[in-house]
Amino acid sequence: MKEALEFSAFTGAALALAWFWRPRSVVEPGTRLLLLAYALLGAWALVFGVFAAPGSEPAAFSHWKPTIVYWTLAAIMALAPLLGWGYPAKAIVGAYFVFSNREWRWINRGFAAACALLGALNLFIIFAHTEDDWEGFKWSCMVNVLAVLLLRLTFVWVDTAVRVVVAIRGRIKARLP
Amino acid sequence: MATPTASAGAKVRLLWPDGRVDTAGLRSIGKSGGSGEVFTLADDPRYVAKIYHASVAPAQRKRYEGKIGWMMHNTPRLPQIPAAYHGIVQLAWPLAVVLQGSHFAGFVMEKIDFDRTMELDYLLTRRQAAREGFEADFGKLVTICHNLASLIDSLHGMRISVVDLKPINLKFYKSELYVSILDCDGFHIRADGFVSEAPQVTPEYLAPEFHDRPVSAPEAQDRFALATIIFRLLNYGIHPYAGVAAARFPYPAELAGRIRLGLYPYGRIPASTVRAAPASVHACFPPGIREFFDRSFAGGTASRPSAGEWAALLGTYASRSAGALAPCPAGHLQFAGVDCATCLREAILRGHVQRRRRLVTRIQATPARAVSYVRKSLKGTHTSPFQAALAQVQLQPVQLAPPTLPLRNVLAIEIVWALGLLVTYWWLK
Repeated sequence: MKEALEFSAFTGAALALAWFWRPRSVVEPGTRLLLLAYALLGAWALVFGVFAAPGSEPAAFSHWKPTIVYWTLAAIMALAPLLGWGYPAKAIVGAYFVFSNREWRWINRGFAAACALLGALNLFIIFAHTEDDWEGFKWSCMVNVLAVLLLRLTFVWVDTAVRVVVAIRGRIKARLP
Repeated sequence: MATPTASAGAKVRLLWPDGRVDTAGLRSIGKSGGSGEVFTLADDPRYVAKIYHASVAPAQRKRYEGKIGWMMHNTPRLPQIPAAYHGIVQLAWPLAVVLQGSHFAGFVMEKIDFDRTMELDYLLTRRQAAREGFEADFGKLVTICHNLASLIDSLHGMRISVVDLKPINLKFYKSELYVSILDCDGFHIRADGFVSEAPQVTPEYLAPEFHDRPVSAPEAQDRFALATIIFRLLNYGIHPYAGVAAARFPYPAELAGRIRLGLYPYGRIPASTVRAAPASVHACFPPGIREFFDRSFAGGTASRPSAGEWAALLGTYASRSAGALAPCPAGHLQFAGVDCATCLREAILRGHVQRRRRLVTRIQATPARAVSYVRKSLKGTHTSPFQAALAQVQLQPVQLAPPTLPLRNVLAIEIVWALGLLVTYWWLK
């Protein structure tokens, strides 16, 4: 329980910091929808992953979890442009990348299609293959997550880290007599 | 029962078909095979004796004894050799039984003069044959093939088959072009109530129908092996089932696998699944020979030409008076009415050498060309319009917008993004 509280406190502090430092510019409705979905998914993860006793989540539900995530993402990314709420893929890939609207539209469609396909593939493997096959598929999906992480790391986080270092160095210099 | 063994200098008794018994000394010549060792007879240089190894099982030794006894009394009638040629041994056929004490130890056969002969295997690589002092041409090769086919035909006439027929078991006389068959004690015999099996086979010369089962039709096996040997001799050593896979057909790496599947690429009707080896000259064989090869490799067992048919066909090419072979403008002996196979082969090799030389030159020149290309690109002095256009192409990699948001805002976004990634991981794991 102590660990759960520590984890929750850490997550809450991080969210509070993010809220405090948030950009004051207008956020696209599609991105808001994505944030809302993640808030719900995160809350579920917090409850069943941290607080609830192990095994309290329905066993059959664990098979459906990847499909729920993929299809939630697919639905948001497919619906948002239709409703004129922008392209949620921007929030995943990063709005730092310079793409035309047409290119963002196709990236968004690509992500939506890939998520829809992976969600369906997950169900197909559950019902048409063995548990071992499903385990293999599930972990192979982590490669996709890793690819998104590496993209972000290479193009955004390295640059952000440099900016942080420069800012700290600037402050130190400013304090020196 | 004690198993007899032989050593150099040992005295043995020779039992001849007429009942005569001689005593002879053995002299080692250092030639040993899987089943026995060959010795010369100290008192008679015309003969050699094969003495079976002591490790040969008694039951097998008994079978050898029965077989040698039958063979000694049933010498086959072989193709006639002109009287001018002396000392030609066409078969290393058992002439007498060797006894050690009262036990069977081996047999005596005529000695094949190794100075006058060469292994047929050498002819598969003509350069190797030339190094050994034999300049092969199609006239000599066809004659050797004809003599081999005639010899096999005479054996088949007595219901004797070689079964393990392959170049390494054959020798030929370099001047007279007659062929000798070694290891006669491994023959398959089915004649006059006597039966002796021949279990030894070589997959590269084994007919497709016997790859998964014992050789039940030894003459059909000999026909296949004979055609394979003739094909290889005429086609510069290329095996009739050595080809290049066409398209995405799964092509066995082993010749045995290709024989089993019947992947013969040298037919008059080209195969769709396999192509001929680029160095092959089969296109320059006369139609009659090509038809025989097709019948041997692409037809069924029943259509396979007999050794007699081969002997008759090749006899016309081996005979000078028939005029079926004629010199080409370059002086090579070629089959009349078709292109010169030797010229084709030389052109293939010349082309290969030229291509290899060009490749080496290109590789050697590559660093200098690369430097020159880069220099021209930097100076913008490419003369080729394509290269000039290529050098001017500007690749547009993914661009990042210059940071406009304050660092705090960026960190806030990335915190949320990282938490989102953690949530995704939890749901997917």
